[in-house]
Amino acid sequence: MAVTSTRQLPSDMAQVVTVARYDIFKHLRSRRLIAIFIIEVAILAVMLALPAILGRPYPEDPAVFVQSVLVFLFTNILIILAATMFAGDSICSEFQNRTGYLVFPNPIKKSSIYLGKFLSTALIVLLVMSIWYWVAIIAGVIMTGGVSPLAIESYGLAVLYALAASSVGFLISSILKGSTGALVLTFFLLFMIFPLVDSVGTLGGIEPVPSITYQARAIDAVLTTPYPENWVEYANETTGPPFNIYYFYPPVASSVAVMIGYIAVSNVAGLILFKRREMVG
Amino acid sequence: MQEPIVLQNLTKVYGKEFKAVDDLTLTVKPSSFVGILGPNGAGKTTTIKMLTNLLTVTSGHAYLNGIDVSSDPKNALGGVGAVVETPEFYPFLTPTETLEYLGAIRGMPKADVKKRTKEVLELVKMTEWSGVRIGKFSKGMKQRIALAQALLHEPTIVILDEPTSGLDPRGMVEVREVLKELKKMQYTVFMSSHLLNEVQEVCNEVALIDHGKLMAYDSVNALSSRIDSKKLEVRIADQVRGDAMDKLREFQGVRFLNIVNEQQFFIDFAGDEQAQADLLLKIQGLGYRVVSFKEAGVALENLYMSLIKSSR
Repeated sequence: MAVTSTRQLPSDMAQVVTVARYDIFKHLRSRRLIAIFIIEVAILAVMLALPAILGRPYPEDPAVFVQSVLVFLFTNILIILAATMFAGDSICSEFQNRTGYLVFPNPIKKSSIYLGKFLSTALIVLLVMSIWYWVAIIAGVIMTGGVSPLAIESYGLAVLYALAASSVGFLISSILKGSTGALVLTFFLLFMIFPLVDSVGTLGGIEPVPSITYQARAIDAVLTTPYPENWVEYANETTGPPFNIYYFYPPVASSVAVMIGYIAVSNVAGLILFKRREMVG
Repeated sequence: MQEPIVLQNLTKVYGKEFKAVDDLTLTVKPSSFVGILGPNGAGKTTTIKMLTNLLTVTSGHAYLNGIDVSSDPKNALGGVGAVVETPEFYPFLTPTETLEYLGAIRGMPKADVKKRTKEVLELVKMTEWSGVRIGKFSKGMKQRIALAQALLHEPTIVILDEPTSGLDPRGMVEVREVLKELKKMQYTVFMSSHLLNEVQEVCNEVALIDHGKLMAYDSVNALSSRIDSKKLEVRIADQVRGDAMDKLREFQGVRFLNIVNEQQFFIDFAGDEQAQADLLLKIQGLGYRVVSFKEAGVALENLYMSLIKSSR
């Protein structure tokens, strides 16, 4: 047999697509995707059936209908779960599970591996969010006879938030050594730590503009007409000294800008760390 | 012709001063089968990891087919197939899917991938497992798939890091058979090992390293010829007697005699085959009934041990 391989290597972009294709395989064959589908289908079924079970009328406005089915709390949890499950250990698992020894010695840049994995995660979270929203939107068409552009806007913001949360997951995955630590940190950062910072800031009258979870509130706010504005309630009928209660609502433009900022900064930092990381041990 | 592998003053430093690889320089000729040999912690795997871009180089250069791995890893690794440590596989993929994935990364047309997948899986005797998910494969099976993926794209260079490590005896024999096939196919192979017999069995050339430094680099025959004494193991049916042993110590060529038990001793002996035959006659002449008289260990072992000892 002649051993004279001088084959033309594929472009970086073609390799990104190859990595993404096989990473999607991983997600499609994983129990995590099945678990998240079961969770969202169960919640959707309950929320769609609840008014009928309780004997209450369904909202007549398409945007309000979508808002009543996709309660923001559930949307938020679903996005955090998706970001944790599909991004949280995406990079560190290559090191911890030693699959890096198989892939990294190939003629492929680490940036192509990173981007391919992010692309696959983005497509999976898009799939999860699409099922979540389009079931509610189609049910809204059936029940109310119309589609609200606000629901589409909310869907767009939810997808953007899911991508931003996944980017944070990729960054954490590039920093931490173990999968479990990366999954736990991603989840608690998005579910507890950021919201805690939001609450503390709000209590002090500081709008937590840089916070990803604060900006995510636009997903729900956009379904309200008119769009809610910031306001302050003066609480003087208390046992202690009087104080102000602040209510902040991020404008859509600010939400989009901050989300894009998170996607860009987290992925640039994550990629730099991934490229510098060595396959030791 | 471009030399397939060139290491130039290659150095890897961990922390501030621990040199895992220290100023390593060597050139691998085309179609040669080079074994990089050394004790645990000698720097073999670190060298291979730098060659395959798994570790960054502290200083020096590693060239594959003339391309610097550090500055252009994608093109440097284009003609390389590698098995580093014991890689893990994606458990949700079958061997065929894994080879399709890696073939696509390497730019192989689908028809080529299909044809080569069949060939390499046959070579490593894994054809019947081609459609089964790798998740539950044994370590030996995974190692064979690892070899298959390294050969899939008909690379010009094959880099192997202790390819029989952790395998059971049968697995080791099977992997060595594959290595011998590679030798016949004229691949340029750079293989680390700490198994002397393995290196002697399959390699043309040997690089001995210790503490990250190159101790010797030559053909197996040239290195073996540097060894001027051999170890002989003698078992006798009678009991060892002190006076007879003293006489034996005085025999020409006997450098050291080590009595293991009442019926067994080792002799470090320098001499040709004729002298070795005379030594046997001498032992019998001392009244011993000889049960066995044979060379102990492989030819490289003495050189290896003396070089490693002198470096410590």
